[in-house]
Amino acid sequence: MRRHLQWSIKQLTANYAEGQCSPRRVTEQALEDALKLKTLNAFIRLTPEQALQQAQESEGRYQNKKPFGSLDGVTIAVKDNFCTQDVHTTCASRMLQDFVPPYDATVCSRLKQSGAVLLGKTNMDQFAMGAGTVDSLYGPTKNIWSEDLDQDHWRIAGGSSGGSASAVAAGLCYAAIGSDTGGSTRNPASYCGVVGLKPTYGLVSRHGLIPLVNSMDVPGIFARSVSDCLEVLNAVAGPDRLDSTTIRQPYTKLHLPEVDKIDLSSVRIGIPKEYHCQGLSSEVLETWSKVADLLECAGASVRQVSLPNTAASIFVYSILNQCEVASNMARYDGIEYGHRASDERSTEQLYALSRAEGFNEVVKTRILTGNFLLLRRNYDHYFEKALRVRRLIAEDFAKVFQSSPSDDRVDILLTPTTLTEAPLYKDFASLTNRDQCAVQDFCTQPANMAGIPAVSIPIRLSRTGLPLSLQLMSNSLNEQLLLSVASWIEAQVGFDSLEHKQECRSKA
Amino acid sequence: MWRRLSKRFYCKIATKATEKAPKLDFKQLTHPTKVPQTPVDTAFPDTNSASHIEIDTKTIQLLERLSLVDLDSERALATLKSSIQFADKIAHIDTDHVRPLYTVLEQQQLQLRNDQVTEGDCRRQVLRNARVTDEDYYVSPPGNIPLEQ
Repeated sequence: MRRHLQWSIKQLTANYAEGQCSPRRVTEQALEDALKLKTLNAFIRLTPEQALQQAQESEGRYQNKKPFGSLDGVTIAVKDNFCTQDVHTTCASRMLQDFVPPYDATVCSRLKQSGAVLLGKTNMDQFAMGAGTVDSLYGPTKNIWSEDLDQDHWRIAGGSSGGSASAVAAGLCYAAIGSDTGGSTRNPASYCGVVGLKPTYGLVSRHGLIPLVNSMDVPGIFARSVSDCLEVLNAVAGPDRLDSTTIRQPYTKLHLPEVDKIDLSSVRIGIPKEYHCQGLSSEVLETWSKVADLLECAGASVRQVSLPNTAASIFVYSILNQCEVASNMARYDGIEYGHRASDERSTEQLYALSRAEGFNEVVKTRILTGNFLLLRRNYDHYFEKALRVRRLIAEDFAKVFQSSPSDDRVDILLTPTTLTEAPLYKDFASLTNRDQCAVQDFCTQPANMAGIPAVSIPIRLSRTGLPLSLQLMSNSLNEQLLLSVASWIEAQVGFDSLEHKQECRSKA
Repeated sequence: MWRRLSKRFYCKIATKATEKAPKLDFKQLTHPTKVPQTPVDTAFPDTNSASHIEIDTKTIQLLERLSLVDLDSERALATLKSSIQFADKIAHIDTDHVRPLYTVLEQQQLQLRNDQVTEGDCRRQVLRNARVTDEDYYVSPPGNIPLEQ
């Protein structure tokens, strides 16, 4: 039995402090469970030695009544595109299969400073290019809510941070770190029935996060509740001198009000009509309508708004993604680090073969397309054009959040996260990578265009017993209100992230 | 011992959990819904059939040289073409007098640091990720030879 899995992070650390349970025991059990649930393929690599060492040190701090912070002894997993000192960081690619960073990403070093126990590195789509965690060198990650984890009847975890979502949903850790460029945290959170937060761009340092699209990448947070998510955010957010794109103003730790003290009568909710796009499932629509109704019943003002450039967003996202990828991937040449082919005829030949062997087809095609869109003759037509439309998309958000007169403003936007429940692997794998992303990222990538914070929260189960989630977005740096409203909804719907059949405690 | 204690604590929490709101009826709405019940149509040009994209051999060789990645199969070429058609969808959007948005932090003062060395002395650590080294150097094959195409 794993009773402690039901606890929140606050309850867990309170129990540590009272000596009711020990970080070492919790860590040992987490590592055991991760092995038992190996079939999920949530982890690329577990780091038992480091984890047990960290747990031991945490235990000592509790014995001396001097814990480091609110995450002391809390088990956390990290996506394999965050650099971890002396621990392999592969981006699920052959290119970085043997890469061992000499430093920690800021997110990781801050987690360690808060006393967290890092269990290992989680699975992802190669270089985070995907929406399913199906394009990994280490094989796909499975969704723990699947009707059947064997044969070909299992559901995808979503992506690209599918391993992190899957690990939290399975109760293997209390929280996990992912990254979010176009929805890579919120999409798998939606499918796996956990909370997934994409903070404001620049609120959390990208130092040590292997870049995909620098102008949109943010570290993301997975947890089983909004308040747990906030505990992690409080530990990792704030300016970092190692990332010049972090927002300079000092970060003040956020605190959630008690649920019954949340007053919605002053909160204005917007329903952006364009988010009802082709392909939205009737169950997601029903869920969306019901939660809007709940908010209205509680006194919030709810009204329809328009973000007219929404539908263009997925195309702009695709262009900017491929252009930045073409530039970012230029660093991999096999000389200083990464896969090196055995072709010594010339430097260029070595570069080309190393890259041919090190990248999968998705990565290669995005590089080639990106370079096409960036050709001198195409630059204005595609790249600059996309940046101009990006401004229109960002201005759509600015208008609804900041318009004058203030009567027309809204504070929060409520939308679907994904259009459907988690698809079956066999159905998803039959689509091309671009179609996978174009469909699944429709509702999530606009927030990355504008840099605003967004959170996916699980609401209920579909008829087939799979999680259905909704997304909330707010203005930049408005995480306090965003998460307060999210926790109010969470309390109304009472979704239990660990209710699935495949719980580790019932598994032999 | 641990198990017994944790059970006690679990019960405390379990009681709390049962106080949760009753099961919601998702079919039942109190207010006229503000959520559009039918998809909002979006008018984007059909670029798939409109323009048949031709990419000449010279361009392909240029792309391969710039990318240092082979465009080695019919399928890869087809994907490239369809990605370009996908990108063409925004061509008709009016962006006159709209400036490109390079960063969402354009309103912020970002931090600049002094141009001083603040870390270093980690040659061994940095070199350990290279497959081939010679003493303190990276090793590469002869340069200045164009890519064979």
